[in-house]
Amino acid sequence: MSVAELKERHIAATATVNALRERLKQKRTLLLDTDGSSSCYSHFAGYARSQGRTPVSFGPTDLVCCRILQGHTGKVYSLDWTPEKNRIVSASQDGRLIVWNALTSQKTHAIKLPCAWVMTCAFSPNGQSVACGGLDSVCSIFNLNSPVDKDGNLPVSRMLSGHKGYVSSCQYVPDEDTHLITSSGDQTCVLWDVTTGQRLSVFGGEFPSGHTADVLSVSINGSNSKMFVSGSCDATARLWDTRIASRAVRTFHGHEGDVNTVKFFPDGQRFGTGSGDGTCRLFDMRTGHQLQVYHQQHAAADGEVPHVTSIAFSISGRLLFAAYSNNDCYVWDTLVAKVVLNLRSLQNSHEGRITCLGLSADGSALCTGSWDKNLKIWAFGGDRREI
Amino acid sequence: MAAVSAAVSDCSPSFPSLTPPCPKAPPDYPDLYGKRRELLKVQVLEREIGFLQEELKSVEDLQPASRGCKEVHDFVMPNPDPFIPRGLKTRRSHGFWNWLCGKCCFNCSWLCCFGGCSLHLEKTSCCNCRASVKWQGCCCLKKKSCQHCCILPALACTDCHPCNGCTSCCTGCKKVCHCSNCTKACCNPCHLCC
Repeated sequence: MSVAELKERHIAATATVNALRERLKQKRTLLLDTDGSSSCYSHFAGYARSQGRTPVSFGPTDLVCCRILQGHTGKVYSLDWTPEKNRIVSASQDGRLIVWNALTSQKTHAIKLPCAWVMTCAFSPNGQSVACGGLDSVCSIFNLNSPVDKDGNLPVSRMLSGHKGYVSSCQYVPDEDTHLITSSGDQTCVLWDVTTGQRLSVFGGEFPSGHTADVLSVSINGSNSKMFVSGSCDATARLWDTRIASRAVRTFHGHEGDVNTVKFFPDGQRFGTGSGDGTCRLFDMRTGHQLQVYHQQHAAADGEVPHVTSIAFSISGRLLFAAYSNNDCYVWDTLVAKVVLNLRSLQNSHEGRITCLGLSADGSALCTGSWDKNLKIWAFGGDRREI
Repeated sequence: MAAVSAAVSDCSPSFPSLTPPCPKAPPDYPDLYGKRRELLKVQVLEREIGFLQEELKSVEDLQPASRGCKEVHDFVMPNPDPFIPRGLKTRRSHGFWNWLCGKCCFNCSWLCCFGGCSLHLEKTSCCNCRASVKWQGCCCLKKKSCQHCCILPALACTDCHPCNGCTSCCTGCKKVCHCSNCTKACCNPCHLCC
């Protein structure tokens, strides 16, 4: 077959793919039956309203900033809590990871990185190691108990090399200190054996069909660690089974811009996404349905739509914390799809964009990291009414 | 000599100039790399067509979105959430209280404890709550019934890292221990300062 004939086949196949996607979209729309509205923004909220749910109400001092973690000398790009104890690791433009005791605000480790261009960090399940990655295309592992070298730096204990593009996100597999998943600008995700440094599986890439643009975020299902979801600049999120690297289990369309961040919902059956199109969405993992879109106009003088940088769900799933590029940090009531609070309006709020969010293991504290070089910890400071 | 003469005589405008030699065009090799790349793109698309056709079939058997919405609603509603103000019976504290009211060297005067106290705190009768100690962790003045007050015990500071290696820290280095009664000189790793 000649190149010209192949190009014709390519055009025909592209048209078939687009037509099939449109048919699929129409069939799915028919299944969005929650309130009969044709609006794509109201499915879930309509159901919640039918159950008599009203938005969560916050008083002016219900959510307070109770710790400010100061020490980075550059923008904070990423943070992660330990699964058990109250420690946080953060990564910054200053080329360091800092490990914090969240209760006392003290720094227990400050790790100077071999490559300053770090984008992501993560704690191992046992809290003994941290991982980070960035523009060097490598995921570096540091054992926090290792002795420092002659310059006072913590040495790298393992380098996970193999990506052909930047490492945008990393997460240890829950309860497995030896396995970690990374996402990359090379359009793939990789499952690693940290002990040997080997790639166990590559998800996506040129032939195994996967994302068709940079992958920006991963989230592993806390209820079933064999499943994880990834978000990409190709405007899709994909669900993967770590046992089947050859293809994604499902592809989730809907966003109209880069999917910057993904996070599993606490029930392990749904996940949230945040995008450059300014919306967050809730998808059902098993059916592929888009259950809800979280979208609100932001006050923007230039008319630009701020993009979502990071999201996190509260432990019950009732609240969705979403940070945006215009320094807003909305707290959404997930059931009624309303913004119930903006952290930006609170005392001691950040002075710059919030780039990362994370809930503590027990769900009682939210940590935010920002371009203002600080991390802040927020907790409920109000009254609970007695019955 | 004849050649030189011929060359000299070539300078005269009456003789046609020789065409300069030009390289031959390369032979038409097949663009194998381009063909393989195009074939790969087609194969990926045809594979995607297969996946989409499978998904179209499976959509026929899918439950409607309302079932998923109900599942989320039924999951969320009964689950307590540390961030949500809601009516609760008085009960023992859980991780949330341990976190906020636990080992903390700060003056947590803005914290109000209500309901139960964490295991680390002492309960006291609100009759002992004086106005002067209103903001030292005793929240009884906020409560009408004044039944449950907690006070934060005085806790020792955690150990600070030794500063033996601090020989060349910047003058702007802030070595602050956040405990009000801590006497330690250096409470942060020194290499953070410079």
